Amino acid sequence: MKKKNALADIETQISELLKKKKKNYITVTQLKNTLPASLLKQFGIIKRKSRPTDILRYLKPHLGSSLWEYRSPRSVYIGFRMSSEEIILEKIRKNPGLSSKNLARNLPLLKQEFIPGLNRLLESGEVVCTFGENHMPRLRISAGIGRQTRISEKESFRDGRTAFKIAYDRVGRGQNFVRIHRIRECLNWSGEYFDKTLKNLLADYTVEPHGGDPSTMSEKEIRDSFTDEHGVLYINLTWWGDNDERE
Amino acid sequence: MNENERKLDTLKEENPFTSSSVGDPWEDKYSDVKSINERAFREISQLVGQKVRDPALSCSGLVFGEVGSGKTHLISRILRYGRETAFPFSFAYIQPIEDSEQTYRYLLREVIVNLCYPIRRTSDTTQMDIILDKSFTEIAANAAPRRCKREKVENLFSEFRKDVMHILRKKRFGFGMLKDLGQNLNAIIGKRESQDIAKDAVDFMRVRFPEIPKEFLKVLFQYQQPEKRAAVADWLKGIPIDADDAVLIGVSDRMSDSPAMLEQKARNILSHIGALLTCYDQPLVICFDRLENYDTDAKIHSLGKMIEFLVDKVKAMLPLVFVRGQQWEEKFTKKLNQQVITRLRTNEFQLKGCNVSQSLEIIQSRLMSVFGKLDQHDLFPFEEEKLTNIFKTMLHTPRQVIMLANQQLKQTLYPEKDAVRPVLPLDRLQDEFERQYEKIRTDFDRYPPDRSRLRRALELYLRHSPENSGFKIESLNHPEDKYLDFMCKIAHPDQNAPFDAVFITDVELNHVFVRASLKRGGDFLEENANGKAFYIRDARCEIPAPPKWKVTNELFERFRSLGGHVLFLDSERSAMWYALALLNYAVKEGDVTVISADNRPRSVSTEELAVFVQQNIHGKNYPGFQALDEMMGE
Repeated sequence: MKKKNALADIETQISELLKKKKKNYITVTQLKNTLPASLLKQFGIIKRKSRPTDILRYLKPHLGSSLWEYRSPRSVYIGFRMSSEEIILEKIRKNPGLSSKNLARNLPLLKQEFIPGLNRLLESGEVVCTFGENHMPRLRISAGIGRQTRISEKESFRDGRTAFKIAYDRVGRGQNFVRIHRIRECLNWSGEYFDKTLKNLLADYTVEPHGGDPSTMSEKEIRDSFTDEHGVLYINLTWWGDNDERE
Repeated sequence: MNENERKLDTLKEENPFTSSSVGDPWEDKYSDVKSINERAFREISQLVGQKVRDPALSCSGLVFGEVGSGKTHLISRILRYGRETAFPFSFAYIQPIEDSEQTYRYLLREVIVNLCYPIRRTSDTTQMDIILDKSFTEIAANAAPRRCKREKVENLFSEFRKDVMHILRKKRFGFGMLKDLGQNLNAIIGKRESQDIAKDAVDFMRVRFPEIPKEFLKVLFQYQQPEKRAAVADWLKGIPIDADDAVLIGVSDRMSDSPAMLEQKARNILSHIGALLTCYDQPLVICFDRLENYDTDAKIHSLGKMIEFLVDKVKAMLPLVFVRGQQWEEKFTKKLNQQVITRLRTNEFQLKGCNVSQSLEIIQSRLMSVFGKLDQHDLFPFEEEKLTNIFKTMLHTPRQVIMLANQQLKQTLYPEKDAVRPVLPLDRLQDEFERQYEKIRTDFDRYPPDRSRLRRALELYLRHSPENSGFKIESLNHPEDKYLDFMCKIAHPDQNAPFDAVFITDVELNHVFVRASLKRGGDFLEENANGKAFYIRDARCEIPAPPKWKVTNELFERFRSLGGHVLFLDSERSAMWYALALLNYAVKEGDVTVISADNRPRSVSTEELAVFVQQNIHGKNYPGFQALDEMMGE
């Protein structure tokens, strides 16, 4: 019974661990060092003696739908299920100006996944490449990330809604309370368009806004949250979709 | 006067929209709108149902809901569901813990207070009675009938003979004497029978539950006897009990138990209750609410310990934690250990705001609490279209709906005023304080002596003293000594230099502890000629008069003779102190709300509570605090 619970829990345990460390992936060695020995024991893993490959073999069948196994030339990782492009974009977002060589370092991707993924991002314009004085290539997120979504401003409302949901999922990583300013930053839409889309989503009850404590937030974060016509500040959102209470 | 005018008059008399906070799930007076959070409730009921079918299943739940989303209301719905279905599960509502050193004692105390609380206003039956009924039903069906042995009959008559001689010596022969003899025989047989039954029951249960010690069963079964009920309830709380109570129920008073031992005993009692509940398929749903008040790492770790213990160590307990999403993400996930987070997150539920029709349903149900049954679309004095326009913009929390309705109603009832006068935070806090005080005063047993709540009230009182109070608190510290609550530096207008003061709150029945507290107070006064010491005690925790507690009484006299101030809080006064502590919880949780000058609902802030304490609690309004004001100003 205990093992059955542990099996069911491992996906949640690792997800929580990643969120706590604010990471999307972690090497299996780091994971081994962080998870409690008692938990690993329930999988038949002796913490001190096991190699990363052993650990992966035991854990892999229980990673569930949200986690995935990744490999780089040097290490094996477990992390949230993401596409190669998402992994690359996330790292460039955190470290703008990296060269492709440095970018590849410590990414949980093999060369045959990394290069095509980066090329796809360059082709789509989501990532741009400039050169430094020493001829080193510098990768950055396009000033128009959201170019795609800006285009969709002109397109139908439905596309804006889809983009909003993608941003909500990406920023929230499965959480049900997502900071509005983070979605706004991720989408990088014009303020007017973002607010209009949000109001539409509010009005058909697709999303629900929540207040909260702004005391730990910067002025910009507060500004980038949402204030309604009565001056009420909303900080977080929950995406309900077409969820009906009576279902 | 036509029908509408009559309705308006009624609403002026009784506005059903003034309260948007449940406060206490046992007391939710407004009817439930079932469609609101129906899904979350159904899923929680399913979890509870699963636990009822398999009480040994280890599980817990995490319910997310923002301020005003109806967390406490949902808890009251769980309780109502229990009441309507003849309690297939037991229920406990846990207020926030204050003293992390007493984690398990606090948890046990709150559980017992709930189990021993009448399940309906109209009867004295408690959840504990339901559990015991199940026990006795099983015992009656299974225990072997006691054989009446010859020696026992002889013993019985020998006892009767002694009493007969006593009656004959005292009374003259007559009808009264015959009556007394008859009553005496009945009493002896009755006492013997009930003792025999109790012994049979304990013997049976010992076989059934070998892991539960005899003492626990012996005490538990005495709960059925009204004269012993209070003593049993106190013993079950795991705390030291009054010496007379201990004799009454035949146990030790735990006076000499160390805090660590008391914590262990509390854990044991919870485990024994869990074992019983498992057997009777009667799991205990334990709701942890008002998590905003878990404001220190120590308190959060206490919560974690309680959850881990209830899920992993005790059977038949289902902890449900009600929390705001942002607070969970930013505070609790960083401080609770991974095991606890995982256990809670396994069953997540989320509360949802109200759409237009649900908002209108809330408003109509509140109107019906005043007018009785109404036609489907009868929302008088509200205009349906106007309300629809307000509520169609987004999902609103039930509290927002009630507050906006209140605002609309006031504009209708008092059209002559340009703008409806906003409710001032101080007035609102005053109402809430009075309401809370009245509730505690009339239901005093439900609020047992609690040092940590007295301390909370005292801290509020000390930190927020008004300028005209005749004294000024220049500094306030929490000493590391567990017997002392606060050390202060107090400035007095009549004195040049500020003086030191020490505050001790106490509800202990353990004379060793009381002695240590009084000794520290006395020593402090000896060492600080200009200092002041205050000893504040819930009067329910009586200090026995000499010759009992000889040394303690001597130390008490010494404390007084050295100029120590003593404040015994009788029921009325202590109700005020506890009301202030609970008001603090409600404010921190954002549960006390007002309509601001720009017509927006908002929660009263802790700064406004501070002003309330300065202006209303200090001074002559409340005798519970007035006495302290006078002592401080001396």
